[in-house]
Amino acid sequence: MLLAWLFAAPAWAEGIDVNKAEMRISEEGYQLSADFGVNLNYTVQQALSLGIPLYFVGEFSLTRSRWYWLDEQIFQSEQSVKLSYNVLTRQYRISRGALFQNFASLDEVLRMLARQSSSLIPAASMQKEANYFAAVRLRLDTRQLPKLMQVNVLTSKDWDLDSGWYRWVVRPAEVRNAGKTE
Amino acid sequence: MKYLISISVLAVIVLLYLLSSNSVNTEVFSVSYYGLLGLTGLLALGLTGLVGFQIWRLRVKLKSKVFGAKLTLRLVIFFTLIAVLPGILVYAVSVNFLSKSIESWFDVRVEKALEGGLNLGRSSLDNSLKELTKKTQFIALLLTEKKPDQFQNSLTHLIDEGTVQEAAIFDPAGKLLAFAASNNALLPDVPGEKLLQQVRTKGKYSAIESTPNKAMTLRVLALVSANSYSGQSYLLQFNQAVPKQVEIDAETVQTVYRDYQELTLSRLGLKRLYGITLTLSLLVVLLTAISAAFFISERLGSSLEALAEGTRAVAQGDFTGQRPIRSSDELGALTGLFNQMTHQLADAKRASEQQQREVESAKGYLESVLTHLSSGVLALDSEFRLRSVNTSAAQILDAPLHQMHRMPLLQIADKFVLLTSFCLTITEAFGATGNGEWQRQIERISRNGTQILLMRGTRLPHGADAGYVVVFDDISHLLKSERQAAWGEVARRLAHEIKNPLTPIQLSAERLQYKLSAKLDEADARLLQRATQTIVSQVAAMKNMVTDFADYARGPVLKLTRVDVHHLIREVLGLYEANAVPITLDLRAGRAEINGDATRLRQVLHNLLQNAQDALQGVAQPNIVLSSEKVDGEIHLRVLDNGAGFSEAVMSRVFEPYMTTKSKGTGLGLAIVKKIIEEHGGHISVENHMNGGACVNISLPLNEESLG
Repeated sequence: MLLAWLFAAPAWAEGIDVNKAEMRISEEGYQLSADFGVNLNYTVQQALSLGIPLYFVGEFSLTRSRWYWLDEQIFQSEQSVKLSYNVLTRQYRISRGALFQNFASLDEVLRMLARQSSSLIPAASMQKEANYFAAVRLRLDTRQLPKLMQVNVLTSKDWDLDSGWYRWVVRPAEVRNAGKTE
Repeated sequence: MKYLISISVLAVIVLLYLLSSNSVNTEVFSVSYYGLLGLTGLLALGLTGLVGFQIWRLRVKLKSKVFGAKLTLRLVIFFTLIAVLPGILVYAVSVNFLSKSIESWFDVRVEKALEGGLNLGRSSLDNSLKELTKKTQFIALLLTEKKPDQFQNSLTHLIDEGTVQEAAIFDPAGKLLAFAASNNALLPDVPGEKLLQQVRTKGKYSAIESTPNKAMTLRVLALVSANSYSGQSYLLQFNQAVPKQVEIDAETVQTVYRDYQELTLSRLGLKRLYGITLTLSLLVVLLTAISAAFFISERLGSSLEALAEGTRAVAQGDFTGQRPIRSSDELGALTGLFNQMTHQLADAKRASEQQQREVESAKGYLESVLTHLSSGVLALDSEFRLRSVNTSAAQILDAPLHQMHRMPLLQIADKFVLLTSFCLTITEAFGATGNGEWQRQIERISRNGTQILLMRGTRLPHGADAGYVVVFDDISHLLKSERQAAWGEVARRLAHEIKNPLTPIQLSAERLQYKLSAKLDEADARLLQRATQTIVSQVAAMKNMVTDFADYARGPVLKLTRVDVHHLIREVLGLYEANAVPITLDLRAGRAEINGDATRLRQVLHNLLQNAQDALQGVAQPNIVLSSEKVDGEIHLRVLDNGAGFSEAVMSRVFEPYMTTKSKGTGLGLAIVKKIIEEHGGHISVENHMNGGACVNISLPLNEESLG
């Protein structure tokens, strides 16, 4: 069910962009998901092809604005994804915790990486008639790079892969209505 | 400042230790390391500021020429050179060594070997896979000729033969038809939809599969196309584990290759990082050293500054300041010696001051003795220049001798005509004497008449204070009183001698008249009476004169009471109201009460007014002025007339008895006046007024009670 989505600028430039971000509803609750455009630059790609694993972090957050106090944090989640290349078998692999998946080509693996979705947000935690701020972000976690590589991270901008926070306003009521009409 | 430097030194040590220990592998690498680098950078900045501040301070000190600043500058330069030069040398060597050693990690041959190993592993795996693929395709070909129910047997057979480790046959939908394995596996890996699709279209699938928990396996799927019995297609799957040793070796090669590549990739960054660390460390250490150099130099300089300050204070005569001893080295010892010196100087100064005070008090005592001496004392040096003089000398000689210090005697004689005889006598007497002592009596003209001085001269013994001392006394008063006493004696005797025959003479004359007047005729009787009267009156006059004499000589005892002079004057003036000569009163004294004998004072006034009247006979517009004035506890009376005044010859002897200018007068008037005034503790003097006319000045001490 596609309920509310937004397009960001089409990007073939190097780096990470947000192509599409939306909030879905299922029977268990709401879910934030985003489609990123991930294009690794030469430096990162080379490092990957030499067998160095890259860790990406997908972050999701949902807040409600309060005029009388700090914004209320409704939901926050972080998911770490490991992207690696086996130089021996020449296969790319995506791992999320114990789960993993092998891919023969870089494009396939990047397409897989680009699709990120949050864990479930209980429906009870959101009020239907309120406005919420949703935000998504995908970035390369340079802190999990091998230690020696971190020297490069600090001396070069090539490793700064970050979509930045992408924010938009959602109203749970509209989400449901739209779902019904479709 | 001291604490600042200590703190920064401590911080430098901690930071450098952390930096060096952090270069080796630790978990908290990136965050803390760069945090540390940042901190070190901040510290370096702070130290730069500190050094800048110290430089500025030294500059200010140099500009204001603070003592010791130049030494501080030199010390700072030396210390800095000593710290900086070796530091830079070590730094250069370290940087060079660092880049060389990092470069030495990388070797083309090592890289080639690693790549070769990797390729070897790859090709070995590829070969195995190719072989298995061929095998699978071959078996698949064979299976087209077999009945589907014989598949299980065939697979078991294959396993038994050791052709492959695991074999399975699926139908096109992916359903398992037959399975055999040598490793007791119960179920094969079922291919997914995607895989089935690929096999159906391409006829085969071959891949090396690696899962984290299982060993690396070779997996091949081949299409058994158009079985001759069933006409159906099947999928044959062979799984073959890669030999353990091969897998381990390949893994090792891969890991080492990856590590090596990591290193290669981060080579530049590492070099930079180490370079930055080294540079920052050097900077911090050097800055700390320079800062410490400033501190130490300033300490050394400030000790000198304190000493200089002390010296200046001593130069200005301040011996009280004790400099604090800050160090136990020679500088401290020097400060201690300096303190000791100032202490001794202070003691010496105190002692000399004490001595000077004593000398001064002795001198003061001597001077006070000399001042209160009634005799005049003159001290002359060997060239007859005035050295010192006491108050009495100046009073006696009536000349400002105190202002003529170091003036030759002859010059004084030239300057003051009245002192000429005095000065000449001294020089002449010292010239004439043989043993250096002499005594003379001289007479000189002073402002108050002739003055008789008794002088004694002594030559001081040769030496530093060689010179002469002259001591003199005004003995005029002494002589005068002697003369007066003599006159009084003469007068008393004379009066006595004269008075004795006067009474018989008078009585005899009266008796003659009484007895003879009846016996004579009228003409003779008249003659007798005239003659007798003449005798009686002349005798009476003579008696009066003799009484005056006696009065003068005897001087009855004064009966002192409180007398108002002004009152007295008015009372006396009442008797002169009918007089031809007008008397002008000008009484200006605020108080006029004295202790005195009214009768005698009345006589004084009578005498003076009588004298003035006598002097004014024959003057066109006669006038007498009687004035009073209060001066310093004394009342000054002045009787002024506009007559001819005193002549020079009379002036000097005007107060002596029997000096008179009048045709009929005893010449005792002024002498008696003087006597009475002196008996009252007063002074009398006469002078000629500048407009002509005589002026008599009297001063009498006022009653002390009325003064208060």
